[in-house]
This record gives sequence, structure tokens and C-alpha cells, in this order.
Amino acid sequence: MAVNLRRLLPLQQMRASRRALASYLTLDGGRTLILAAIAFALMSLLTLAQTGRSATLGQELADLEVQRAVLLRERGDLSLQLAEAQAFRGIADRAAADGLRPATRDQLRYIDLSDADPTPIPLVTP
Amino acid sequence: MRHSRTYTYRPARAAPRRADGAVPSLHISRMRLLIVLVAVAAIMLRVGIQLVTLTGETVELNGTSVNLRQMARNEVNSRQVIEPTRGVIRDRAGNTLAMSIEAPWIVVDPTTISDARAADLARELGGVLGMPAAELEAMLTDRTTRYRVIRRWVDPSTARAILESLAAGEMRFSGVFVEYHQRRIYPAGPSGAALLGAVNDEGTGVAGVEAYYDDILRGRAGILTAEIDARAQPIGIGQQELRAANDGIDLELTIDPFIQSLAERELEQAIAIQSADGGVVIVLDVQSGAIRAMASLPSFDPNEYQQYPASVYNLNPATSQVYEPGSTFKAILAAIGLQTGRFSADTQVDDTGEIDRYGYRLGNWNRMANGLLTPGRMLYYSSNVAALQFAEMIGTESFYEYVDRFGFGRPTGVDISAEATGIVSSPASAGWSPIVLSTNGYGQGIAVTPLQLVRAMATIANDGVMMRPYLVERRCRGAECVSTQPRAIKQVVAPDVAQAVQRMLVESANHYAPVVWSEITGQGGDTWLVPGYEVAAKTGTSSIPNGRGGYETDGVIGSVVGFAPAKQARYAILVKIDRPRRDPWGVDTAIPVFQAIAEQLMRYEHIPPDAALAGPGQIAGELVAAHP
Repeated sequence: MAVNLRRLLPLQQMRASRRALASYLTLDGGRTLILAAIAFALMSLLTLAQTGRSATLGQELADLEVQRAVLLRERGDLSLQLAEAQAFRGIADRAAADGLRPATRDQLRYIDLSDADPTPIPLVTP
Repeated sequence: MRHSRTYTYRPARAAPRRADGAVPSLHISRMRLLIVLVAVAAIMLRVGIQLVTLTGETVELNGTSVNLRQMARNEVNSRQVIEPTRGVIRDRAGNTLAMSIEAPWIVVDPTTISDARAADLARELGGVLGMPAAELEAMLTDRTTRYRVIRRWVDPSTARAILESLAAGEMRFSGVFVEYHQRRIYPAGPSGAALLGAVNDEGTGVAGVEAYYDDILRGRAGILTAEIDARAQPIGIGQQELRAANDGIDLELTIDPFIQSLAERELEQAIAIQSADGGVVIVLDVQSGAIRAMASLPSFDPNEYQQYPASVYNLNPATSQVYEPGSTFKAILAAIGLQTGRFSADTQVDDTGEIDRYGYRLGNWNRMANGLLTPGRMLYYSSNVAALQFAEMIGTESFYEYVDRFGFGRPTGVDISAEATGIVSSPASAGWSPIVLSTNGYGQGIAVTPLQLVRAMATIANDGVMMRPYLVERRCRGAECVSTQPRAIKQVVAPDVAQAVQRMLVESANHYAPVVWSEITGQGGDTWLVPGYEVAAKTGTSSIPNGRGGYETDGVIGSVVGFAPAKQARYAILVKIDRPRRDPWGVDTAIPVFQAIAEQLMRYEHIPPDAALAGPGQIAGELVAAHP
């Protein structure tokens, strides 16, 4: 049912407009709807922001995992180099190449400490 | 007005007024609004239903029925197996003997590479991989598969170069993928290969310690169920379910790097000089049963074990292959006789050089008579005729009872895969005849593994107490370690019996010392095998069965088994040389190896020499007083 309108004097028009404005601002039943829409929009924004942040963190996490895998591989390669350098045969070969050789029988000296004085020898002479 | 049924709409800006001054109004029927809302909702619902229906439909794709929902789910959801890292194997000094690393493979999907591009890519790849471009181009243009491995285990720097190029968006290696797979590496190469074994491409141990401890070395795989992105990386905000992988347990072996290296070096030299087929050296810690060295030839590189015959990498000659021990077994015979009381250290038998038994003529290696011999002299002269008679004095029942107690004919229980049991005939065996006992007395007609024999000798060295041989000293998960405790199995012979045999074996060792010393001292008589120390040893020359009930005529196995020092022994040592070419008896080859190892071990253990135990021309090492 339409509202009947009638012609008003300017002052009356202003008064009517002022009265109508209040009605306009109250939005009647639409106010709730708009508030709900705004709340929904804000929640969506929040969710979107959280999701975006989570996705970014997830991506960073994935990148870190990749980086970790690369570092573990490098550690493995370095461990291998270390193990190869420490292999006994390699050390013996390098020592031989440097001119080192096992002592011969006549070069050996054995010191019997079984009945030695157990008093520790001072490291610094007074 | 809340109760009005129509609404007045006024725009923010003043609307043009009608001529009569009335404000124009917009009348929106509530019914209309409702209808529009319902219509929009209905359209959205229809679209939703259509989408749900579509994803649930099964369609034909490349001739295969595919459920779209399942297909989408498979595209996003991933179930990744997380491979555990296989445990590290170290020696007792902490040196790495076996380890696993992630090593790169270069793979391509030929269906994504055009013919025009294949030639360029083949040139680029050939340059960095060192492969012929033509061969690569053929692989790149063969589109019968979407997954082709170009090369396994490439150098890490090569893989990095390809990855960096791909990451930079360059076209050089477009279509190439780098995959990382776990690879077992043995940094020391062939050193200790027979005891370590190897691991196949599926990560399963195929021999040695790798096979025996495969269950604990391999660990347990983990599983990651997650939604993945286009790069197959798990999406952080998606649902994830992770069951972490359990890495394998690390093993620390009893192997001493110095002793292992010493054994391998001496064995290699002897085999090279003699052009022998192969050989074995075992060094056993007498008091604990720990294996300090186990060297064998021919060996293999476990990093590339597939390039060797299976018989080389599958069988450890020290534990999986049997041979007739020959005269080295006479030491066991002496111990059995003294333990059973069937003869004493003074009992004598007549060695006539040859003797007839059950229709066969059996004899000494040189067919020469040695006269009346005690068990000690039997060992000294290595008399077959005397050994035969002593075996007969012991009798079948007692002899085989003690052969069994010494562990022959059954596995030692060492922690290496595929251990052989040996072959011991007894009266209960099919085809047994009394002559078997006679020949068993001097070590023929019985088959043992080198480890069985050195353990039996270690039992005599350890005053009759048999220890379980073992190879793994500690098992570690991170910093938590469990040590293997040495385990005495039984007292096989009494301590006084063992000590009597120890003394006999010192004389036997010194009898063979001239093999090493005669050229140095210029004297051919008995002397100290290792100056400064009493060392016990027994030599043996064994015939090799030809598989037809007889023996080969063109080859022997020369061996020595003994321990040092003779009293309070530290190490039992076995040396076995297969088919030496220049030495018809094998002993002249094996004795120098035994002597060199025993001498080095005494130094390594800082055992001071006794200056009185040096013959003319020998140097025992000088003993200096701490406070002169």
C-alpha cells in the first residue's frame, strides 16, 4: 500500500523531510540485513586474511622444508668427504707417500713403567 | 514505519520534483523482492547441484572410466612415503665404513620434448654428463615411456648446475628432472667388503653385516598424507597426517682399522707374490671373541657390487666357504686326546712314514718316518701317521663328541649372513666308514670354515673357554648405545689341557720360523718365530676336493692358525692361502703372513718383548728401565 503524498509548504516540506530522514536512517527491517551483511563481510575479510596468512606461512614452511632437504644433502656429501679422508688405507697411503714408515725392530725401545715412582712429575719446573 | 507495507525510497541527492512539488517515490513491492530473492537462490542452488552432480559423474577418459570426484581428490591429495635413513656402520675407532646419502638421478619425460628440441638438449646434457649426444638423443626421442632415467648417481655439483639452470628459467635443461634417491656408500671401497656386504637398489642388504642386520639398519618408513600443490609440495593450510620415519640404527663393529688394514695388506702381498687364487686372514680377540680383522680375497667394491659375480659378493670366504683344515686340525686332535685321557703328553706312537688302513696306504707329506712321537712331536713334525694313530686311540665316539664341542659342523653364531656349518661325517652319517676317523685325525675328510677353526684355536688359547665370535660391538640410536657383552659358550677342555697344547704349539711355531728367518740370520735351525715373544701356531697343507670323491692334483691350500702371545693370549690368527702357484705346500706362503701380523700386533698392543726370547741374529726390541 503506497503512502499518500500531499503538497506541503516549504517549511512543512523541510519538517516532513526531517521526519522522513529519521525513518530513512532507521532503515526499518533492512537495517538488520545490512548489519548482517557488513558483519559477514568483515568475517569473510578476516577469514581471507587468516587464510592468506596461513597460506603464506605454509609456503614459507614448504620452502624451508626444501631448504632443509638441500642442507641435509649437503651434510651427507660433506660427511662422505670426511669419511673418505679418514679411511685408514688412505691415511696409510698418504703417510707412505710422505716418506713415513713403520719402525724397524732395532728402532724400538720399550720402557717398563710397572715399578716406576707413581708420584706425578711436575709439569712446570720451579 | 515498521508497520507500513510499502517503502519510500529517496535518493541521496534531491530528486527532481514534480510540478505539484510532491517528492517522487519508488514503490518496491515486498513480494517482488521475495520473488527475486527466491529466483536467485534457486539459480544458485541449481548451479551447486549441477557442480556436485558433475564431480560425482564417471566419464570416459582415454578409454578409461574415471570418477571425476576421485580424480580431483587424487590430484590434490597425496600419500608420500618418507624413506628412513639407513644406519651408519663404523669400525671401533669411529671411522665410517658404510653410510647413506641422497644422491641425484637425471630423468626425463620424453613425451614433453619435441624432436627439434631433443637435439639441443642432448648436446647440453651430453656436455655435463659426459655422454655421447647421439645416445642421449635416441633416449630423448623414444616416447614409449614418460619416465626415463638418463643417469643414476651423478655428481652432486652436476645436479646442482642443472637445478640452478632450471630454477633460473633457462631453457638449456628444460624437460629434465633431478630426482634424489638414497644411495649406500662405502668410503673405504673394497676394504672389509666381504664382512660388510652390500645393499641393493631397493635398499635391502644382500650380504654380510648389511644383510644380517638389515631389519634394524633399514629403519621404518614414515607416511605423509597431505594436500599438495602443483610442485607436489604439501599445502600448509591443508589437512596433513604425518607418521614420522624412524631412521635405522647405527652399528659400531669390533673391527680395528689398523688390524684390518694390516691383515689386508699382508694378504694382498702374499697372494700377489704367489699368484694365488685367494685367501683369508682372521684376527680374533681371544678373551672376548670379538673379530678384530676379517680380510679375504678376491674382494669386491661394495659401491659397485653388481659388477662382480654373485659368488664373490654373496659369500664371505671366512664364514661361508668350507675347506679341509689339514694339519692345523692336529692341534684340536691333541686337545681332544688329552681331555678325554685316551693319551697323555708323554704317550708315544710309532711314525713309520706310511701306514695301511682299510685297504688304503696313508702317509706323511714326505712319506718319511719320524720314529716314536708324543702328541707334541706329532705337532712338531706334523706327522699324519702319528695323528691317525692318536685319533684311533681316542675312538669314534669321544672324537666326534669333542669335534662337536669344539663347534665344528655347526654355525658359530657370528652375526654375518649366510654362515656355513661345515661338513663333519660321523658314524651316523650315510657312507661313513672307519677310515674317515683315521683321516679326520690329520684334518682331511672334514670341512670347516676359517672362522670355526680360528675360534677352536682361540678356545685353546683361552684356557679351554670358548667365546661366541661377534662383529657388532655397539648398536646406537643417536647417543643411546647398547654394547654387546662377550659371551662364554662353554669350557670345552680343561685349563691344564689347553695350556699343555699351548706349549706344544710354541715348539711347532718355532719349527717353522726358519721359513722367515733363515735368509736373515743365515741359520736353518729352530728359532723364535716372533723374536721377544712366545707365539703358538700350527701349519697345514690341505688337498682340495675335486667333487668326484677325490682330490685335485694341481693345487693345495696352505694355512697357519695360532695365537700370540702363547700365554695369556690376546689374539688368535688364521691365515689361509688358496692355490699358491710357487709354493707347492702353501706353508711357506702362509707362515710369513702369520709372522708379520703377529709381530705387528704385539707392537700395536704395546706388549714388551722378552729379550731372552731371541735367537742368533734376531732382535727382540730393547727394554729400557724407567729410572736408570
